Amino acid sequence: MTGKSGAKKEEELSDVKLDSPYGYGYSESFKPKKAGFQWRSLSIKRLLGLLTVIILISILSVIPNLLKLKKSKVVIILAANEGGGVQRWKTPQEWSVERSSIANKKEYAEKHGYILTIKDVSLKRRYSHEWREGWEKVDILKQTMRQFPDAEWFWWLDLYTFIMEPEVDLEQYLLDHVEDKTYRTLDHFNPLNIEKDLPYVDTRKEPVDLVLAQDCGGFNLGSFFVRRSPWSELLLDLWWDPAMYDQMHMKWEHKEQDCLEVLYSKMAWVRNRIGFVPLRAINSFPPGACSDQKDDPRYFYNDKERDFVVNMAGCNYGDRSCWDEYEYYRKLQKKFRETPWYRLW
Amino acid sequence: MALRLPPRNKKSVLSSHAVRRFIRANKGPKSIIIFILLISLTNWVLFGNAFLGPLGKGSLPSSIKSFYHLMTPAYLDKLQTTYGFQGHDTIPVKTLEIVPDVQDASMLRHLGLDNLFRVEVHTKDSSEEKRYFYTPDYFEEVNVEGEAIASSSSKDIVQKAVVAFKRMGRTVYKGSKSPQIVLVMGLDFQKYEDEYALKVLPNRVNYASKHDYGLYVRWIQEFTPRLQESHNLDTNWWRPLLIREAMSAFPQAKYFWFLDERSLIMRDDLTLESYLLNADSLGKAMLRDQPVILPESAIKTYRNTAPSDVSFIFTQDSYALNTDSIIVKNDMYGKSFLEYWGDNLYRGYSNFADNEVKALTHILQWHPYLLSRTALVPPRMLNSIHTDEKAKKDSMHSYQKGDLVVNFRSCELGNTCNNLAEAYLKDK
Repeated sequence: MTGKSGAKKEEELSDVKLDSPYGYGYSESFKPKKAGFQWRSLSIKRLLGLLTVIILISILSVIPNLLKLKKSKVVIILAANEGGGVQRWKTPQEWSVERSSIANKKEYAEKHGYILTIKDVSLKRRYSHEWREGWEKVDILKQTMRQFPDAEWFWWLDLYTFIMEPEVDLEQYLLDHVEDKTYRTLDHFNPLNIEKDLPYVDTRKEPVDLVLAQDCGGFNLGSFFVRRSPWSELLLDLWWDPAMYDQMHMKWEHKEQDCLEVLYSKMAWVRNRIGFVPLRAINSFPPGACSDQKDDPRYFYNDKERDFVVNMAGCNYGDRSCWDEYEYYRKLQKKFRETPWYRLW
Repeated sequence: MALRLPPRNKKSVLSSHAVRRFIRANKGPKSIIIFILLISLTNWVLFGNAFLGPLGKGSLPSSIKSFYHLMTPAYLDKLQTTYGFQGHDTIPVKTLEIVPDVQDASMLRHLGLDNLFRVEVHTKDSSEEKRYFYTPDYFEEVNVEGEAIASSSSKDIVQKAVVAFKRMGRTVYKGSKSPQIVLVMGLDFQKYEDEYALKVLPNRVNYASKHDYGLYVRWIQEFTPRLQESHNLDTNWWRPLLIREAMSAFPQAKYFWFLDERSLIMRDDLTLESYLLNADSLGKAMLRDQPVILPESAIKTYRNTAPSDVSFIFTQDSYALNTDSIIVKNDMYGKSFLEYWGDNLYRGYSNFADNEVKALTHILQWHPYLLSRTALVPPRMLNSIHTDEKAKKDSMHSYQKGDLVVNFRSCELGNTCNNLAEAYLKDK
């Protein structure tokens, strides 16, 4: 049917041409009449061709992502070798947890093309002088920023964290438009009762360069994001000061964490660029942590809502076991990621 | 020139005869719907997503894609806005000068701190200590009921002076065009005679108005409760606090020049921009590789700091840094520097409590990032020191005619401020 009509058309056109070059076949602008769009020329074959092209384009557009051609802006800093076996021997279970933690981040980083860098936070002599204790984190962040001069965001992760949802794309999840996704005041949650009003604070035009979460005891630096900027370089320079540490080292039980809380509670320039996210967005706790508030759903991992990261900090205290907890979450994650039998991939 | 449609491909992709017949029989929208359904089914089986197909690979259920379900949206839009130490209830003014009324000085001196602040008396080991606190009317307008206002006129003057004193810190500039540079000064109504204040204040006003600079002057006594808290009374620790207040009162200004109240500006013709602040002049004036502590110290200013990166300008006297004349840029560094320096962890630190210069030296020695934004300039550029006629003159520091500033520090000890100021103003 279609073939026939096509032939007919051809005949018509050739006829016209032969008939009268200057008369009927030319439009008023002395140009040959164009063969316009013909509904009749749409056929299944053409539709199929069109579809093939669309599918090809879509596959081609996915390839750069698959081949990691996209340049990574994110560096994951994993603090490994906690303690370094200085104060006591590391047990085989600790080695095992460390191995799975590293494998977990490695897999995640490879999947999204992030850079993973593993930093040693073992006890070192040069930090044992009381004025420099707690300085490691700051030094490592500074050093990593120098090591990866093209990276924008740095994600600090403690060793006992586990990424439960490796599919999460950090940029989509948090880092793109981070100002719209973070709280700029402590009104939502203020476990330390920090003064909410501080003179000179102005967050209206300031970007967010440090993303933090708070747990039941205040700021949590087990998982946080820093953006490279003059502000963060300044913060890393001023975070630790011998004169402040000299006065506060007896009170600052959590070292750099307490120090940051103090800077936040007193200085407007620090407050201006810190954004807060709920703890469960980047740092869920297993039951056992924050034991005084064990019924508060804001802190604890929720497998229905599939929280992103679990942080088993403090798992080697009390009657908790790091290895048990780690194995539990590792298996749970595996279960989530099993594909149903009817899917081919 | 035959106009032809492209030759038709006679071979069908679907070679099976049955499928061909099926398509032929069901030509039209029906077949398209069936076709789309078929594709969706394949996509669902292969990629787990019926609509996006291979594009949807890696996409997740929405609860995993974002953490919005954990947020309280009401708090998301909450932002903090700027205000000074004395709170939100600011008093906007349109004049470039935010200056206390010097006529109030004698009245304030007469009233004393006891009538300006809330007082608590603490007894410790049989010695009494008065502690001063801000009253609510420092932070917002408090309506005093009838009796105070309705009383005699002499009480009115007292009331006026007290109210003016308490409102100083809430005054902010809200004019249409912000000055580029603001001069900052503190006045002490207990230390100096009224005649002296009446000499030094016009000196600043003249210079500022000539060049359209802003002028920010506060009573040093306003900072008493904050200073007392960290044992800084009778020190110069109010300086970082005052400059930070000035930045909050003139938020759009670019530079703040703090100059000690025992100094006079001797050259009204010099503008700070052409004299020091433009990149060229500053580049020439900056002392590079200059030891922070004199005569020699391990920490020196950087050799390669670009003038455009400078956020603080200091001078040194013969042995240490000097805070009598400071220029601070109104940027992130300037603000953070003042907030860090003026923090009560520094002010209250036993080694620093008596002298803000010690803390400043400490900052520049321990925090290379701030040191890299610092310029030290030759002392006589911003801070020439008055030398007695009998004493030997020092070409590095002593005032000579033609210098921008003369500083007769410690004049209040010999009660010579007024005489010196008079002599210098005559000579100007």
